[in-house]
Amino acid sequence: MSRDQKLAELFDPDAKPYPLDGVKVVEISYSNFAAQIAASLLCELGANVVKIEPPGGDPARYVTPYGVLIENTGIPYYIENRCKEVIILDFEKDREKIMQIVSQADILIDGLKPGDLHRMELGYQHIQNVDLCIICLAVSPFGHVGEYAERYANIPYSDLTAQAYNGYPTLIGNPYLEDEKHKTPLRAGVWAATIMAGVQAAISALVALYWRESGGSGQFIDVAINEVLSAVHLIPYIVGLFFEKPRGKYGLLDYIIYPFGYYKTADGYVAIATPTDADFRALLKILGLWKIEPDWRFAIDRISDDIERIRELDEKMRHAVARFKTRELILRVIRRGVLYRKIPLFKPIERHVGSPVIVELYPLNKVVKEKHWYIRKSLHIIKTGGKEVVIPGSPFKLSATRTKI
Amino acid sequence: MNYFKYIESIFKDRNVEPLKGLRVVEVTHFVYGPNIGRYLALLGAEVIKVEPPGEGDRFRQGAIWGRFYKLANPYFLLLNSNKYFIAVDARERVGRDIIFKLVKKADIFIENLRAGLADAIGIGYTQMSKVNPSLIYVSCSGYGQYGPLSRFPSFDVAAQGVAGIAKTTGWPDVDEFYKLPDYFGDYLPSLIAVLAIMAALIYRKKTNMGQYIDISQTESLLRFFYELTYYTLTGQEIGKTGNIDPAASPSGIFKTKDGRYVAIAILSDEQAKALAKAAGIEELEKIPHLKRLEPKVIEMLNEKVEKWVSEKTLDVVIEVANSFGFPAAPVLNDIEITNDKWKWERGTLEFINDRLYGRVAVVNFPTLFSKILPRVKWLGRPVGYHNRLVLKKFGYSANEIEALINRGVVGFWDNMIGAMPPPTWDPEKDPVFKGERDELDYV
Repeated sequence: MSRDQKLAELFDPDAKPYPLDGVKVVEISYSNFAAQIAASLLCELGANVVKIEPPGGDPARYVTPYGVLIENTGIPYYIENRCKEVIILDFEKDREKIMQIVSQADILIDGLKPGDLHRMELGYQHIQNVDLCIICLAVSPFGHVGEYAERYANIPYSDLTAQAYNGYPTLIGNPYLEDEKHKTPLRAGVWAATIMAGVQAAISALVALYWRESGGSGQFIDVAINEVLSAVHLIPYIVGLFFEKPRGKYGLLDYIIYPFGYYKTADGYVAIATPTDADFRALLKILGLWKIEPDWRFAIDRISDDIERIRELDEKMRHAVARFKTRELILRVIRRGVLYRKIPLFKPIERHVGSPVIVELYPLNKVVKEKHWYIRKSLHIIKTGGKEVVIPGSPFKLSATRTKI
Repeated sequence: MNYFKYIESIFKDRNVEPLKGLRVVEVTHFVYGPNIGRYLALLGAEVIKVEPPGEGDRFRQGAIWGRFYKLANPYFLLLNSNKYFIAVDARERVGRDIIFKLVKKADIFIENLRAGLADAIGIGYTQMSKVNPSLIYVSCSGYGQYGPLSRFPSFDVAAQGVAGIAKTTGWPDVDEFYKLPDYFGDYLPSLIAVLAIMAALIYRKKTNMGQYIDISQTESLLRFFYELTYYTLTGQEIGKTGNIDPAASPSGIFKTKDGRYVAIAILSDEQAKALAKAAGIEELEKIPHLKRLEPKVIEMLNEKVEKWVSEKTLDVVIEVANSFGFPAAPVLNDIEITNDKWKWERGTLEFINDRLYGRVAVVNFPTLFSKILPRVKWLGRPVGYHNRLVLKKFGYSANEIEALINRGVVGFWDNMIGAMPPPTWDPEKDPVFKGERDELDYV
C-alpha cells in the first residue's frame, strides 16, 4: 500500500468518536461573527452547541454578500451555524429558562455588547451563583476588561472596522500607484480580523477547559477582536518598536522575502515566492534574467524601507514574468528540478540549487473542481434548491477522532 | 456593582500555566510551525526546538528590512520565545537517534517539513506511535499529507493562490491582486493546528490516546472562504471589490476632514438606523437590509457616507459611532497600533527583562484569562544554545554529551548574524548554556 493510501485509511472518520464528545457550549451572540466562528469550531470538534437568539433572530442571519441567501439565511451564517442547535428565547421573559440552559453548560460564549448579559442578570457574576465552574468566553471589539472596554462598549463589531483597528488596510496595495484613490488603505477581501479572532477565542476556551479538566476551575476569558489579528502576526509591533516609521502598502514587495506576491503572466496570474537566495537565483535563470543577479544577489538587496530603491527590480520582475504563459513558467520550474535530480552529483546539494515556489492563482472554477479537496473532505457538495452548492468542510484532520459537519 | 468594575476585580489573581508539565518537540522552520510551538510555550509547555547545526532555522535570517538586534533577528526571537534550542545533524544516524529519543518522551510533536520527509528520517507518525501511543503528532503542510496535491510546492502566498482567496483582494479598476500581508496563510493554519492540539489533549485526558493531526494551509483558508459557496450558488464571482465589504452596506474606508481614514461597515437595520440618525442619511432607514446589499445601493449609500465623513474629524466620527451604536474604527498604522495605550493596559504588549537581550518589549498571547497567565519568559536563543541542558534532561551523561559535540552530531551556531549570540555574551559566565541551570530559574 502506498503512503497515500495508508494515510487515507488512517484518517477515515468511520465509527470514530468526536474529540470534544460531551462538552456543552451555549452561544449568545448578536451580529458578531467572531463569536459565531468560535462556537462553530468547537461544534465542528464535537461539542454540543446551543445558540440562543432573541425573537426576530440574530441579524447575523442576513449578513451575506450582496444579500444572497441559501436556505433562507445568509451564506456566512449558514456555514457557521450548520451544526448548532438554534433556539429563540426572549432575554427578559425567558430569563430563567436561559439561566437553566447556561448553568448546564461547560462554556458560555458571550458575543453581545459588553455588559448586556449582566444587565439582563445573566452575566458571569450571576451565573456563578448557580454554576461555579463555568468558563465564560467574551468576544467583543474592545474587550470587557479595563477603562477602554467600558468607554467603547457601545461600538458594535464588524470585520472591516476590526481590520482597520488592527492596521491591516494600511499594508495592502501597490505602493507605486500614487493617485488619491489608490493611496487609500485597502481592505483584505476575506474577513481576516474576524476569522483570526474567532479561532483565537476557540483556542482560549479549550485551554481553559483543559485546565479545568486537569483539576483547575472555571474562569472568565476576554478576547478583543480589535487586537487579535495584529498580535498574532507580531510583525506590526516589531516594526512599531524597532523602526520610527510605519510600513506603507507593500504590494508585490515584502519586508523579508522578495519576490513574494502575485504576478501577471501572459495568460493569468501566478504566486511567486523565493524563500532563500538559492531559490532567487533559480528564478532568475528560469526567467532569463541572470544578468541582473550581481545587483540583487542577497535577500538584503531585495528588501528595503525605501521603495524607490527597489522599484527597478520590481519592474524588471513584473516585465519578465508577463512574457511567459502560466503553464510554461511552472513547467520550467519542474523541468529544472528534474534535470538536477538526474545528475547524481547534484542530489546531496539540491537545497543549494534552489527552486522558486510558483503556483497558479486558481480561479474559483478551478478551486471547486479540484479533486484533492473532496478526497480529503475539505469541501462538500450539497444539494439545495435543485442546485449543487459547494460548502467548506473541516480543516481538522485528526486520525483517532472525527469532526462534526 | 458596575459590571466593568466587577470584571476588573476578578482579574486580580492570575498565575496559572495550563500546559505546565507537557513536553513538546518541534522540527520546524519559517513561521507556520514555529508559531504553534510559541502558543504552547506561552501557555507553559516545555517546548524543545530541533534545528540543524550551523545556520539553524532559515528564518533566523528573515529580519524585517534586514535589521538585526544584538546580532539576532527580533522577529525570530519573538516567534520562538520560551523555547529550548537544540541543534542536531539529522543526516547522521546518531543524530536521528537523538531526535527519536526526544520524540519518544514527548507529549506533542510538531513538524512542518516537506510532506513525507519526517517518515524518511525515521520519525514519521507510524514509527513514533508504536513507541509512544499517547503522542499527539502534528504535521503541517500546504495541502495535507495525502491526496493528489500533497506534493505541490507551498508557501504562504502560494497557499493563498491555490485556495483562491488571492483573487479577492484588490481594486476593481486595477489589474492586480494583492497578498494578505504578514503571512496570513501561515498564521491562520498555525492557529487551526493549536486548536486541533487542544482538542486532542482533551480527548487524550479521557482516553490516554494520542493521534495524528494533519493540518494544511489551503484547507484552513478554504474553511472560511464564503465566496466559494456564493460562486457555486449564483454562478458569479464576487472578485475584487476595493473597500466595499459585499456583506455590509454601506461599507468602506473614508477620508475625514482632518485627513485621517475611518472604516465604517453597517451589518443590520439597527445599525443602519443609528447611522441614519447620526449622519442624517434618510435612505438608510427607508431601504430594508437585503435591498441595501445590492451593489448599486451600496455605492449610492457609500457616496453619502463619504460626504458626511469628509465634514467631520476622526475623533468626532468615533464619538458619534459610540453614542449612536454603529461600527466605525480609525485605520491605524504600525506605529499607532504599537503606541495604543489600550494594548499596554491589557498586557498584550509589555516589557520583559531577558537574560541575554536585556529589557525588550514583547507581544503576548492576545487573550485575557481571569486565572491563566500566558507570558513571554525568555526570547529565542542562538543555534544549539540549550544542547547540554536538554540532553542532560533526557539522561545523557556529561561525557556522552561532549562526545556528541566533538563528533559534530550535536552542534552550535555558525558565525553568522541571526544564528549567533549577542556580542557581549560570555559562555563561561552562562550556567544555562553550560547546562547547569534552567532558563526557568531566572524568570
